[in-house]
Amino acid sequence: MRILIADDESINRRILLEMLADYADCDVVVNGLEVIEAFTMAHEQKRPYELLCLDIMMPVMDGCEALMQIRKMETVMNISPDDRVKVIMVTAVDRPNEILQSYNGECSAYMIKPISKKALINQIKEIGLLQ
Amino acid sequence: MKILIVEDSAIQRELLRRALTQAGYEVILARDGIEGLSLAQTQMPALIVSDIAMPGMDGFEMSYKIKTLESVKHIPVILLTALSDAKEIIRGLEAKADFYITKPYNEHYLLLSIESLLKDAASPSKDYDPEAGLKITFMGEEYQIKSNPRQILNLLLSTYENAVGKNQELIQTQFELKTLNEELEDKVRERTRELQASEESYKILFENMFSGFYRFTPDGKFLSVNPAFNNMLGYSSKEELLSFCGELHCLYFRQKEYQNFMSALKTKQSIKDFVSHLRKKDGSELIIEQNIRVVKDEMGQPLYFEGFINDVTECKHAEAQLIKLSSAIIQSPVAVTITDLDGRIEFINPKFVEVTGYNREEAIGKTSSFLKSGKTAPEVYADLWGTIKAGEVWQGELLNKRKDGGLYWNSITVSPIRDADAVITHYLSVNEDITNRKEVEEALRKAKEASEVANAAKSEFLANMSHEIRTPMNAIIGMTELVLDTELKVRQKEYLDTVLNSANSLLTLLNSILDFSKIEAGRLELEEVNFDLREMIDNICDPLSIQAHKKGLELSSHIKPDVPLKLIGDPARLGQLFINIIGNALKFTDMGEIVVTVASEQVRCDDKTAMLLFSISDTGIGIPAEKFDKIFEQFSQADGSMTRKYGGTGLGLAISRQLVSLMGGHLWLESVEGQGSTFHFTARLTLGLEQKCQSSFNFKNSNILISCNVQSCGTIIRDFLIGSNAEVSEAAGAKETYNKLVAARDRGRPYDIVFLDIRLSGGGGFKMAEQIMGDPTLVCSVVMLLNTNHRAGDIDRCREIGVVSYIIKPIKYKDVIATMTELLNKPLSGSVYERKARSVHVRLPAGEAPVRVLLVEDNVTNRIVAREILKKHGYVVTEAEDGAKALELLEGGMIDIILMDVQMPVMDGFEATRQIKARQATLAIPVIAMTAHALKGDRARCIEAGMDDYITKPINSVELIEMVRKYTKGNDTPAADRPAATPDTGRSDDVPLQAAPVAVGDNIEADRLAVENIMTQIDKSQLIESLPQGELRVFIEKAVNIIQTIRDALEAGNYSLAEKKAEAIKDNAEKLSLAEIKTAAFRMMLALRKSDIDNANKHFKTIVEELDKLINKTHEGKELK
Repeated sequence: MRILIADDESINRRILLEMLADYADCDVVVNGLEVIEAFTMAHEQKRPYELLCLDIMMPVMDGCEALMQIRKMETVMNISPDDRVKVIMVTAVDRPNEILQSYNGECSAYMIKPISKKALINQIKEIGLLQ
Repeated sequence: MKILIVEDSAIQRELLRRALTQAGYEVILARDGIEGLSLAQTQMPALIVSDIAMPGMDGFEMSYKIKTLESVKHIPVILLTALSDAKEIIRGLEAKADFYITKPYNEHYLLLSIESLLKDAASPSKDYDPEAGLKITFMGEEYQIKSNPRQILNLLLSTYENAVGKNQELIQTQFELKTLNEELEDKVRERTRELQASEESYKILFENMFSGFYRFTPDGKFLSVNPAFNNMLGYSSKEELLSFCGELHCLYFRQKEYQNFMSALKTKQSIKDFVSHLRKKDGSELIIEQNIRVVKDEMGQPLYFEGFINDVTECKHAEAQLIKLSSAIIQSPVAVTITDLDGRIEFINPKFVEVTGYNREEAIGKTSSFLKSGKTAPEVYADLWGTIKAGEVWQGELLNKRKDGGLYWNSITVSPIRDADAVITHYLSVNEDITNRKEVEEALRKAKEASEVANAAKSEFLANMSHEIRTPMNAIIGMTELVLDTELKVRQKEYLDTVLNSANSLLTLLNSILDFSKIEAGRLELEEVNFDLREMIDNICDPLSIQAHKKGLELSSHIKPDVPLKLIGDPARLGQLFINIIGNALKFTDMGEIVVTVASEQVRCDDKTAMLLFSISDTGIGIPAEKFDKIFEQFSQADGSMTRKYGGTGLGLAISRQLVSLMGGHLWLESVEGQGSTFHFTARLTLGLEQKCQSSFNFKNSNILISCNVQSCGTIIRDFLIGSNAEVSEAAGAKETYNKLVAARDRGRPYDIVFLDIRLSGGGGFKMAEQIMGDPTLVCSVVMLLNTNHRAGDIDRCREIGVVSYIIKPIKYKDVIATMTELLNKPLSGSVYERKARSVHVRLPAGEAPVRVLLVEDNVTNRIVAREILKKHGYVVTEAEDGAKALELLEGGMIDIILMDVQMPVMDGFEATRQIKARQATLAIPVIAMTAHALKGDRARCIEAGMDDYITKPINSVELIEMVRKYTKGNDTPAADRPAATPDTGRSDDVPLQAAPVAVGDNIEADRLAVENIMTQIDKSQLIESLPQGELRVFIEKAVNIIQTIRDALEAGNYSLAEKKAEAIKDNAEKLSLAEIKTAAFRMMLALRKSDIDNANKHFKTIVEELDKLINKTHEGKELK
């Protein structure tokens, strides 16, 4: 399994990377633009990511925008709704749903920091990426 | 002595008779000569007096006959004669009468004559003796006349002639007098008639004239009044007036006024327009003006006064009104001006002088423009004039200048003044100096702004605080967990557990505080999302039941069957309420159970909402009634000592209460100390579109037994099964359960399923299960109801006994249904959801005039991609690298639409657009921004710069073409002819509205392939050539240096520096669209970030190789080498 972690805070990236390293091959990016780049690259390599963990507040391009761009690209690439990459929005924003409202249908889940490993793994299981 | 009177006129006859009778004579009367003659003969009178003119026989004839009759010839005859002419005298002489008396006769003379004649007759008459003369008596005296008779006769005749002449004159004069008299009489008659007519018309005038007229005496008594006078005072007649008011003074309201009036009359001949206030009959006031003159007698003493009065009440009232109005304007606290139609001032009030400092002389005749401060825009004045000239009222605020140069704010209302024909004659402006108000407003506005800024800052602070606290919390909790996953000594683990627990407590506290601040700031807004109530409650109760079970408590949720489950609301906040209240219940309950009940209080179909009643009951310590209110206060618990024993901030219930009220409900409490508490709250939730139908599962003919300790458990399962046609029985305790099972079997219809509570009283669930499993005839299936704690062991135990099914509490609907469905071997029903595939046909605008697109984009790749897409759809594309270039190209014209990158060197898209939109020639060309920034601020900037629309990068071909189409419709195929390429048909319902239309269909794939092809071609050949050689050389120089740094860093193990430098290469390569180098650099970065050094080195090698290739390809490169 490949997971792309996007967070502008290095410690957060580190934590997610450490938490998920045992379960998947993880890449780390620092903003939304890099998310799109990495996403495109992975497709070109024919090894797309199964899961994106996107922080919402990031410089250059935020997580929501990246999410929408990716969904658009997937549509252009004619990827069926079931095969679309799963996305967990991770944020320290107090009420992510306020921001996420319009993106609700596009992401699989959202989690509020601080994130416990257990909760994160449970969430991934719930999405169906882990047994 | 007898005297005969012969007279035809009866009056004359009587007069003579009376006169003679009085003189003592006996009178005989005859009416004519014949009668006289006969009486003379028969009576033999002593004397005869006869008239001459008589019918039949006149006096002359009778006298002659008497004097010729011997018997009577001695009787004297007196003829009464008018002696009208001389002929009569001669006839008289012929008649031989004795005496003549002319008429009108003198009575006295007549009697003397009679006496004299009688005396002569008594003495015997002597014959005429001419020597002796004639003896005559005249007037009593005897005269002796000796003239011969001819002389005498002649004299007599001439005398007579003379007398007759005089008489003639007299008669003439008399006639003239008579005529004159008649004329005079005519004149008098005429005058009288005229006077009568004049009097008549005067009376008509007097009676009917509009003005009141009256006469009164100097001491104030009415002499006469006309009807108008009465009417004015309200009286019907003069009599009525006098009955009410005999004297003038009582008509006056003010006696002082009456006295003034009367004294004025004493000194003057007349007074004009004297105003008096009179009392009318009904008591109301009559205001009159009177014009009175004095009429005096010969002595110059005033006889009476007379004059007219006119009713001027209305006039005076109107005048009073006018005075009132004008003094209102004059004394007005606002400045008032009246101007003519050209705005020249005709009137100002004192306030105007006070406000502006200009006096009347300075203002009158000028236009108000001397007040202009020059700080009010000309459009404002234009609007003012436009409005008032149109006859409407204009209101506004002008910044004006006083005479001393000071500025003031003038709130002005200008309204047209119209005359009776509705023609505007003047303008009235009412001006209020609102400088102070403005200042206050300004201060208020500033204060408001400041408070808004402060509020925004507070919001910002809250958001930041949340973010800033969560970030380190994330590190603490995350890292702690990570450490806990490593091998640790028991003591280390304990310490770290404490850290983790503390961190979690801190987090809870943080959340509460943030919530509370938000509620306080009114910033907490509830979401409106679809959710399933049962799922939500299950999700809340699951983790809480772990805590409950740890304490040996039961936690169950019970949603009443009539409660709608698909709702729209804020499930997170609803969940928070449950967590707060159930958390409290758990804290304060040591044994027993906690039951969550949801009931439907009220379902309103009209507004599609439901008021739900949520109740959370515990069997804990309870709360004394007097503390009910206190516990809902902030930072408060029922008892201060509780804090130490049970912990908590006291914020939970305060927040809960606020949340509930946000949800349109309220929160209250029932509690009995020592027995437990029930918290109730209501919340109004919107009904979701589809309501789940509980009875969609059919367990017909199934026979179910629920066996547990607490009744709630049985009720919950029973409610789940309502409508599913299952027969449900309950049993409390092991013994009853067993009895029921046996009874059912004996009846020949054993239970299909028995739900067994693990904590069944009387030996526990497992013992009961063992017993049941030992006798297969008792029941078909057993479902164990397990607690969350020790569940691994319990599940193993189930397997040992042979019970295959179990449900972990709290009992959930989906678990019960799934288990039963499985056991009763009924497949789940479900609907197949099919999504209809829709296709979009994109047609080239073939056969039409080509649409010319100007593509402004500095990034080569992006430019080529967009260009190829556009070309493929038949558009003619002109390219520009930056805004300045674009402007140059536009001078050549022939562009239909511009696609404009936002961030470009030399001149960015915003500036370029501003210039395009500022030029007449190009302003109509639509400009579409291409931006990677889909943030709200950028959208606003795009629109502000004049861009018509925007699309976000990376460019999506369908979106791009749709956009170009949208703005070039005029040049394109008519919309009606076009196939369904509208975004609507292609839009998936799940895509949010602000997202660009996403088309799904065959053509998309074709587009994608096309773009991919383009990309490959670009990478391989086009790109290098299309690059500006100068930029490439700069890149190569930079890259060579960076590569050296990376190499050093990798060797030194400074991976973060290597990552940073790799990123620099990536960024530079990206600018020149050097895809291979960029990708390799990015991959290297990703590898370094996960400390995958091998891969990092591998990608680094690729970068170096690609750079080499590039150097080789370029002329400069060769030189460099």
